[in-house]
Amino acid sequence: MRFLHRLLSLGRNLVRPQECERQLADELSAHLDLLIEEKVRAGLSLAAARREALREFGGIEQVKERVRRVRRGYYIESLVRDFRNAGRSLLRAPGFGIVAMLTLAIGSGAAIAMFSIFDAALGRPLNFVRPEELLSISEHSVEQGLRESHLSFPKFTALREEKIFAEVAAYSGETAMLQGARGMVQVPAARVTGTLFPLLGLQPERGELFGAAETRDVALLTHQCWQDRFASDEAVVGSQILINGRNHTVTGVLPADLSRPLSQFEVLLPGVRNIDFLSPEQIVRGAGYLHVIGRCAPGGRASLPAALQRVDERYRRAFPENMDAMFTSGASDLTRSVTREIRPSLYALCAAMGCLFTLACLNVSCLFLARLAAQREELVLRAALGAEHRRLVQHLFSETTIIAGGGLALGLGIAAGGMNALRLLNSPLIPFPITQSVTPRAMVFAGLLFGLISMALTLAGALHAGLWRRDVALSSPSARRIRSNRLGSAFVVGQIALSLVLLLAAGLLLSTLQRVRDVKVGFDSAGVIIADMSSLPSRYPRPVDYAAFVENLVRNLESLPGVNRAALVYGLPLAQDDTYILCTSLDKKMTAVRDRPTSYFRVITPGYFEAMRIPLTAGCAFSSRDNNDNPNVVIISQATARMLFGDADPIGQKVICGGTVQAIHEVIGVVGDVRSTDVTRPSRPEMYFSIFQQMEPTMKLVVRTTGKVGNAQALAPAINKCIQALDPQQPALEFEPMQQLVSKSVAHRRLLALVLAILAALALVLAMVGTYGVMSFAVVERRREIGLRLALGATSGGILRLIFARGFKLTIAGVLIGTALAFAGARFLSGLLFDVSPTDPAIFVASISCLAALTSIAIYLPARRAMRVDPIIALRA
Amino acid sequence: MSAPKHGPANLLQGTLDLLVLKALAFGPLHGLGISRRIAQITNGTFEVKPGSLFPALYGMAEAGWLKAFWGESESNRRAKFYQLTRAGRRQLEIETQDWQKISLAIESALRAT
Repeated sequence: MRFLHRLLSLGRNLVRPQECERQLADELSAHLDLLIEEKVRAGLSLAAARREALREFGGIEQVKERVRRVRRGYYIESLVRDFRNAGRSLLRAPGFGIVAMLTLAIGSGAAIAMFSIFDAALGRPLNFVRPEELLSISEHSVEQGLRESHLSFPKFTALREEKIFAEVAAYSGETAMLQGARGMVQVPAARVTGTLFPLLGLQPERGELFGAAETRDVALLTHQCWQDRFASDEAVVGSQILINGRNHTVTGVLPADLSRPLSQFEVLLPGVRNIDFLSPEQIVRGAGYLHVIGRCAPGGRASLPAALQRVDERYRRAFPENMDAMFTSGASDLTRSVTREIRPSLYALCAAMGCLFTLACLNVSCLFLARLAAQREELVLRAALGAEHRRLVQHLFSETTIIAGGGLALGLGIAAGGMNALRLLNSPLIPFPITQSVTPRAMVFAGLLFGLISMALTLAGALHAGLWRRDVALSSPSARRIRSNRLGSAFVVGQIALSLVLLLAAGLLLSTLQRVRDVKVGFDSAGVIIADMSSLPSRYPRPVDYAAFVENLVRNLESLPGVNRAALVYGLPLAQDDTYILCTSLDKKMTAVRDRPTSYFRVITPGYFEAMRIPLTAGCAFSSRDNNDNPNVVIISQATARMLFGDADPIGQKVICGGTVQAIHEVIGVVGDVRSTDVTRPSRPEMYFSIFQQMEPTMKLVVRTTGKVGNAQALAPAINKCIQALDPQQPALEFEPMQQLVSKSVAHRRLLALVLAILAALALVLAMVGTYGVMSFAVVERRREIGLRLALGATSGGILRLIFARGFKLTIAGVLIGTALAFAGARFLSGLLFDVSPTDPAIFVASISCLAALTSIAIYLPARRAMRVDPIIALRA
Repeated sequence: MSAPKHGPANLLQGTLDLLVLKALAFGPLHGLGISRRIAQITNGTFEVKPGSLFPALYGMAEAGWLKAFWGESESNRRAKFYQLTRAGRRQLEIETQDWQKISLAIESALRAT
């Protein structure tokens, strides 16, 4: 009952404060009148009675204040009043408020954006059932320098039989020809084991999934495919569609929120052994092509390595000659393996944005410090007049809260805008889905930041103003000044250090970008366009027909106007198409499989080297005579030649290629090395086989055009017409310039460098503004001292040097700390750099000079003002 | 706890509430009247100044123990009168019992050697 009453009183007090005040004033004056009347009745004169009554009363205002304190809603009301006052005082001097809010907006915007990106990328990349239990199983070979290689089918079977995992499944990616609503298209597809769906806990959006023992021709579409290729037609489910030339029944559609690694495919097919780019023999003999996922309860994780080792041992004993007998199996978190490539960049970005945020906070602290100094007299006076310390802290709190609130709201807006931009950009560089611009978790994070910043600033301000001490008024002005100057200087040093770190990072990444662009890839991509031709095997099952088609195709294409050379290749560089093959020279002893070197496996038509302008350094290229009726030949790269034969002449030597399926090839030519997996990694040994001796189904068409680089795409229709004239059933090919593959391989570096450059620029601006602010503030505070010096005979040049010296000391301190930080963090950045040491002296010198130059300007401007101080005015003030 | 003519500093807020409630037990009074009544019933020991009286009155009014209304004093002047509510009467009983318990306890503590 009491609570309810109190609540009602609270409401009344808050809603009608004037009414309450009026009633109080009335009551007190009535009381006073009664008191006076009483005294008059006791015999005093009116004037004496009044005096007595007032004395007895004890001060009307004090009584009013005591009543107010007792009233419900006092705290709230005082808080509201403080906020209104703070708002008014901020509006009166909008410069401070705007600068502080903007600075905070930049810093917090960066922090919130980073949090959102982190959340989207690493927070929950997989939405399967209990994703923390899912493991990705892969092979690695230390000798061959291979990591996370695909498993072979026999090994997968061995894994399944050992029952190490509660559930295990596999999938393999390929390209399929799909007859969609708008014609034949090539789509990324995957062959999966039926156990994949229960393993991941997937449920279909429409229709149903296929099971583990599925033998019919069925297919599952992803939501993306169903939407893009079949226009979300409901009738597709259950109907037949043409995939790879055969009718498949569509059993169902997968949900739209399918995450990696399955979201990269459009069609899922059963039959993991029906891979079209490997022969059944190759599959049996251990060719690795499967991604394997297993589910393991957290408790069983410890016994995994031993169990996997057992599997490896048994496999090695059963199939000693298989190519992957020497590989070791390992399991890692599926989540981790899916995000592996982007982690270094994300961490670097996170660190950079953290730097910017800290910088912004330092800046805002500097601003508050200056403002506090200006307000100190007022606060001291209020404390001396009896204001509770609580009220003073509340006053500080309301100011910092308004600034923090405004800044963070703006920052949230900036972050949301940035994330929206990223989402609309839909760049393939960003391998994780950005569904919302600002997730709820990011909002919570923003709220936490808000609380943290306003609390921290309030506390710092209160401590600095000495509000906790009883003798608030007693700290001397000069002592206070020294304290705030020291703090300001510390902040400036911090800002300079942080901006140096960001500047260095940006410089290093930009330099890396330059080096990467300058890398010699070994081929000339200018004017070259490429396209996928995966449909050949089904059309030409007989080698003789296949060979004829290929020959005719190349000849017809090269006769087109504007086409210089045309070729087919399996294993195009930078196309993520690399497969390996074992090889050894004939005259070496047959070493164990483990010790045999591997090289990249490529199959080409004779004109390939000319089309890609890969230099032939010895021997000759393939010709149409190198077919199945003639001895096997091979062309090797320079790296292979060095690896197998050292300095000896490789031409005419024989090599044995393959693990269990072996063939002897004669080396007829040597070509230059080519950068293949990654532009920044040195070339691995390569071997080229003639397409007429090694039929490879999935080829890429490479066409070098004669015209200007930009016109290459314009030839696409002509090329397609030519192909279709040869074989009307071929689909229209989509071409892209080879240069795009080269650019794609550096694209994420470019993005990272760009973002870091922007951050560094922002950091520089903030640091300069902060330095300028602190230095001018110091000059203002020391005006009397400067005036005194000038009056006592110092030259204005001397004053300039004085201020400059002080500022320079700060700069040097900042540079030293920044360099130390950079050295400490060099390790983390080295993963992203190429051909540049993280402590590259040239970049260091350049960054430091740039920073020093800008800082000098920031110091010079207030120093110049100091020079102009009129000693008389300064001393009089 | 006896310091005549010194109100606020030496009077515990709780006992002031009790005294006010008791003073109003016999009927509604205005602020000055409550002050005088308390002085009377405590034999002059406590003189409650406005600085402590009014905060106490407002606090108790907001808690629902007193009801305030404007009326006329004996000399026909306008004054604000306070009256015990039912909850106030209950509170008076509770506080009386509490006080008796406390004073018995302290008395026995002081008697012990």
